[in-house]
Amino acid sequence: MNKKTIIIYALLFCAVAVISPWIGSESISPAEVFSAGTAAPTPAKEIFWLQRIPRVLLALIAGGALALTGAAFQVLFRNPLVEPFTLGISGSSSLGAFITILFPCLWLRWGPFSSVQLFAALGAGTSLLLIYTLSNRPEGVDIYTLLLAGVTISIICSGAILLLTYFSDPHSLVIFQHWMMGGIDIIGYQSLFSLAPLLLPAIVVLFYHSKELNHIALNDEMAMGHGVDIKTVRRNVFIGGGLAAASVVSIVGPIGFVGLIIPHAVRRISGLDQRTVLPCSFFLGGASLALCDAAARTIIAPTELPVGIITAVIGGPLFIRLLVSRRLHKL
Amino acid sequence: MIELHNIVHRFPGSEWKLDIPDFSIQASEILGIIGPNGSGKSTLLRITAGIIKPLEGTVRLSGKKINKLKRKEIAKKIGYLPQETGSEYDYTVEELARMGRYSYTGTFGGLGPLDLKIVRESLKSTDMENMSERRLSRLSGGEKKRAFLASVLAQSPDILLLDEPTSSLDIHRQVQFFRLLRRLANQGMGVAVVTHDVNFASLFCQKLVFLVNGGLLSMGKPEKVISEKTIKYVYGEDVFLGRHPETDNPYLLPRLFKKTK
Repeated sequence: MNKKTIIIYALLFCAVAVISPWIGSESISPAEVFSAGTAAPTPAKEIFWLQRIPRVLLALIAGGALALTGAAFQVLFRNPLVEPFTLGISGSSSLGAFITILFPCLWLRWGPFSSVQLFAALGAGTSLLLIYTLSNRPEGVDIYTLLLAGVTISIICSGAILLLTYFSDPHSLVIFQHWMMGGIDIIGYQSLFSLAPLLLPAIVVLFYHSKELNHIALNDEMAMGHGVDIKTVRRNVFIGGGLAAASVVSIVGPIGFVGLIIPHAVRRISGLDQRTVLPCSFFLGGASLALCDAAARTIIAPTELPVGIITAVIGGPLFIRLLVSRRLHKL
Repeated sequence: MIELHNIVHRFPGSEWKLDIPDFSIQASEILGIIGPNGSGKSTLLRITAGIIKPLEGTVRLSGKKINKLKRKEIAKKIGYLPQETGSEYDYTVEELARMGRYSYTGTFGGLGPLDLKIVRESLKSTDMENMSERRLSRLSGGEKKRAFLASVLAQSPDILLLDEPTSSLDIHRQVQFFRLLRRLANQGMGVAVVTHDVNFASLFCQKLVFLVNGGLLSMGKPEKVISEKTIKYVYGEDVFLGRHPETDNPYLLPRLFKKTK
């Protein structure tokens, strides 16, 4: 574990956290926000505290969780192309969200959870449970069945979504399209609180197992020989990563790219020890999504772009640049 | 140190059966497990290491049943080097060796001065000390094997189980590897090595276990186990049997032509 590297990434994360709330179509100065004396909330204060801050926090947490899950899954499946949504989580949660949007009778609120969020999480949870049962064997989870089942569920869900699209009215379609593009334009802190019960334990589990992931990168027998309880680690990382991805996708929609690219970037820049890679992926993922969201707020101000578009359009070329740079050691 | 009793194992959907009555691995001794392909050598080693659970029979590690022990507890006693070694990521030799300390570390996997000293020693004894910063992809086959062995030795095990560690090495590296095993055994380690090479097994092992088709053919000192008759019986091949000039252990030479009656 390289503490210095982790601290550098953490500082970057904090810097982005401090700077990005000030970026947006409405320019706000610190003087306006922190001016004392006026009892009544000014517009600047409201925008800052109820829109910008929760939004930046969500971007930091969601981006971090996606990148962290991607980093863990790429090792778990020994496959560089895996991302948090490979397991069918984005397909099944999209289906859940779409069904809710289509049938207003499902609109309900339960504590801080909105109905779309609830059903998206429910969809993701169902697919996780399904592929876990399919691939669970006496000797442990079968990684290949897991991957194949996940991809198959994705395909089934997109088929179902197409079918529903065919029969649905334009208004619901627009709402759904917007959800699919991924957005973190939340107001207030409710959605943030609703993330916590699933996401926090999931993140703790992933961090806890980062040292075992180093061994899983070797091979199963070698890892067991070293004393790693592979069965337990696999199950925990799968469930932890699945829950993290499901809870994030239920709020921000399927934001692609962060979970795939950030872990690769971290491994290229900062080495292969998963105890470093996992926390650094969290910090870099959060910082990148927050920056992308700041760009989404400003590029075509006063309107906004969905952040999913920005992550792909900016992240893609950057990653290709990283791939071709020879200076950095081979993966 | 480690005792196997009435081991029976089968794989689902196959007629093949491993059936070994009793055998044990003792301290300060190299035990060679030999036999043709498919005789169950690797399966027996995996069962001994607690990697797979046999259908019947017990494996006892210092008197305790191995399936009652946690993997970390087993790893402190048994070092296991599988036949297939490789890595998804291109770790350095040192990083790999440090992973061997896993079962001794806490939540964050940090290594103390004692751990680092043991890692140093295992790199030194495998002759990898000056290559510790090299990445695995930059190593030759023999160096790679030694790097993985270093990570196994870093577990500071009492028993070392190796599955065909020398199968891809040239004769010089093979001799070096077996000399290293000899040194470890002299320091008190119990070593069991699965190998195809009957000559190396005969020269370096104090005891041999000869497996045929999942069963135990014979067990004992090399001069007892290896004879022209058994080789003919097991491999269907007539050989010349010689004696090693230094140790008087038996060795085999193939015939150029098939014996005609």
